[in-house]
Amino acid sequence: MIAPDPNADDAFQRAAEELWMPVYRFALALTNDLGVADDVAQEAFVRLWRTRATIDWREPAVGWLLVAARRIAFDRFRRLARELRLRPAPSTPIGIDAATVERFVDLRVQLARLTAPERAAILLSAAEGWSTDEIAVALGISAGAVRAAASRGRAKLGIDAS
Amino acid sequence: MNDIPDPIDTWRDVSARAARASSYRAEEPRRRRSAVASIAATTVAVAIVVAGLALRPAANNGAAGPVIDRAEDGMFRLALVTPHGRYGPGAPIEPVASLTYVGPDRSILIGHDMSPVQFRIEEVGGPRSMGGGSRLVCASTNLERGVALDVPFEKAGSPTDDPASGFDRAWYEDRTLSLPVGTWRISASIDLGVGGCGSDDQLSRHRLAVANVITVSGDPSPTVGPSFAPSLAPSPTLSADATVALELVRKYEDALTTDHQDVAWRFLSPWSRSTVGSATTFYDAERRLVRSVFGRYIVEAPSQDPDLLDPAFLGARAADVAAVADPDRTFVVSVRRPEVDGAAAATENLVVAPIDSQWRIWIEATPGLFGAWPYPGGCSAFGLSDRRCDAVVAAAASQAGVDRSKATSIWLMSEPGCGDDPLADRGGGCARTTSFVAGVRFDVTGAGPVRTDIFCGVGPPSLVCSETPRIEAIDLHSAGYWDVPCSGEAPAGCASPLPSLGAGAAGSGTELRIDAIDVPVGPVGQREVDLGRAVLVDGIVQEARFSIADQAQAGFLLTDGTVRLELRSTIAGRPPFENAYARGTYDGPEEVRVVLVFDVAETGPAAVIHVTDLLVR
Repeated sequence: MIAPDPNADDAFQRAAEELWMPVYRFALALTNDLGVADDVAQEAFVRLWRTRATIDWREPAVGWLLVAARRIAFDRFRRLARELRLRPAPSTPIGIDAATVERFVDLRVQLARLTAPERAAILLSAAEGWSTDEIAVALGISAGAVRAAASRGRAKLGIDAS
Repeated sequence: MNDIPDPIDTWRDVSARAARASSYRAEEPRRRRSAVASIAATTVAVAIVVAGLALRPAANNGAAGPVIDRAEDGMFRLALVTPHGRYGPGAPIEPVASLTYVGPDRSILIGHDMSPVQFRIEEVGGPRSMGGGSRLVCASTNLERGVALDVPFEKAGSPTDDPASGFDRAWYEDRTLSLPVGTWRISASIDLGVGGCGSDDQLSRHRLAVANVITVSGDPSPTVGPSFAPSLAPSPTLSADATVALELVRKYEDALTTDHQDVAWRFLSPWSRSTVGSATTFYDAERRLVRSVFGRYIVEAPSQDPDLLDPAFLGARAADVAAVADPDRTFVVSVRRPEVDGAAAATENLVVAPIDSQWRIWIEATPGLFGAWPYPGGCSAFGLSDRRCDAVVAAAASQAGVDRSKATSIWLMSEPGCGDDPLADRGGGCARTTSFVAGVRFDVTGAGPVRTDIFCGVGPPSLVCSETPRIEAIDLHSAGYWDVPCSGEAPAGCASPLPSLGAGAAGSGTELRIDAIDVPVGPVGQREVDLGRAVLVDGIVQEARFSIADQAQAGFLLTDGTVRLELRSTIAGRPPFENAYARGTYDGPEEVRVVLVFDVAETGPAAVIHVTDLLVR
């Protein structure tokens, strides 16, 4: 009745190719850090790789990845260890051009006034076009809480809700 | 686009560029395995040692916080982080080494032993140690500049039966690192060849070593777990309230770990209890969690970090916390459950605050999160209409032999998972030949909870398995009337074919043929509708089939979704028409009544079944 998926490796490869963008951007919204977002997204895919044999690949993997990314990003111990390890020499995001990094440095200051859920709520809805329900599932909170977080985030950024 | 505010517009562009510039790189798990190959020791002998950095002084171990040490040779940076400097007895110690390439190229291929980082443990001032073994294999790893490769601690070495000199086999086989009381130096080192495994470019080697010194004391530490002490010595840095919050969470986790879920349940806030739904649901879920991580957890220091106390982060419990708890005395206590096989690492953030001077815990709960939804309120969570949900519960009661009226409460349960433990969370679904509809648990006073799962496979499309149940027509063909019984290998082991009727004999029979007829569904209950009579020759049915034109059950509901065609002999004592071979033949004509049989669960005044193409002969 129960059998490992023989095509799990291929399914994982497809997921890695197709879902990197949403998972990375979700991680970036949560962490507000290009390097850490890369780290979080990488680990989410590593966890998917480890569990690929028992995943039901008939279901979209993106939901699984987003929940994993959220847990990884919110793992306070992990954050602490990473900060301690990298403070003397923060890792430079690999492959991202200097102009993009510079633009993000400026933007990051603005976004740092928001909490992680506020960033995710406002950025993923306005910039990514995710529905409130999709964001709620990814963040593990209610749709009402997402709307409230987005409202607070807009106020902090001085953005008109309309 | 003009009405989109600039920060969001910028973020959209920057995040897309960053995402495109990066990608999933961790083919390493595959690459590492496939790259393992034996190499001769002489290959290593020709290598040139570039920089032999001496073991560095141990980092500070006096504090409860992380201990960290780093070394760098211009090409590689090696760091070792141990979460705490002081541990209680039996507490899991989880050092993690990280290796980073910091040289001039974008990436570099390195060759190394089974793991790029080797670990050692030595007792400071004592003889006990672990490490020093080599498996004489060579693997390759590609490191990208600036990207740290984290390598969790792994045990390696030779077991000894002499506890005074080292560690026994059981210790080595336990993946969790815990150490006896004493002071210990945990070391990580690399001995890398550039160019990958077996490459001719192995012209240089890089050796680095780092070490953390930690203390394992006889007294349980408030910063590390698990400890089963009833109370803990407060850290001098914690306030009185934070200490109480920490101790409550420690007791809560201890209760869960020691299978005293009833004690843990009493620590929960009223909101948490009502959201979970029932103590039984809580017990089930917590047993599953504790089992999946083998009871391992680490309780972190209470925090009043605004990010963690943000209502959006707290989720559903935020409103209740705000309503009943003093914000100045509200803490978030994170419980980290380390990664083990089959269960990813996770951090559970508990909110702890006093309610009327009684400290209570708000768990991360939403209705259904614990895998149980109350019936009928939770039907929508399973995508079931009230009508179908009731059918599912009725089917479950029938399947489990439970009288629904005797149940004090009924719960809809989530996917039971795979493997031996039906509650085990494998992080994904199962490959099954049937589809899961819902589990149903009946809490029956005096008999305990009874759970049964409803699955749907091939078969009648009943309401249990579909919101739009259809009718399945079962005639003598699909009922197996002509199935050939076999007691051995076919064809020798099977019954002889039925005798065919001659033209004359066939002509002595009377067929019943109905091109189309609307059969009223009629009242609720078992229904038998007589459609007419036919006369068979020698008691053998040559044909008995029918169709249903509109298979949707519009305005009515058949209990199992089937309409059966049955033949009833008018000659007393004749056996039923179940199987032609078993029934045998009877010389002469045999009159039969042609009957449709079905069981009506719901009906309406205009409900009809559109029967077509009926033929019995």
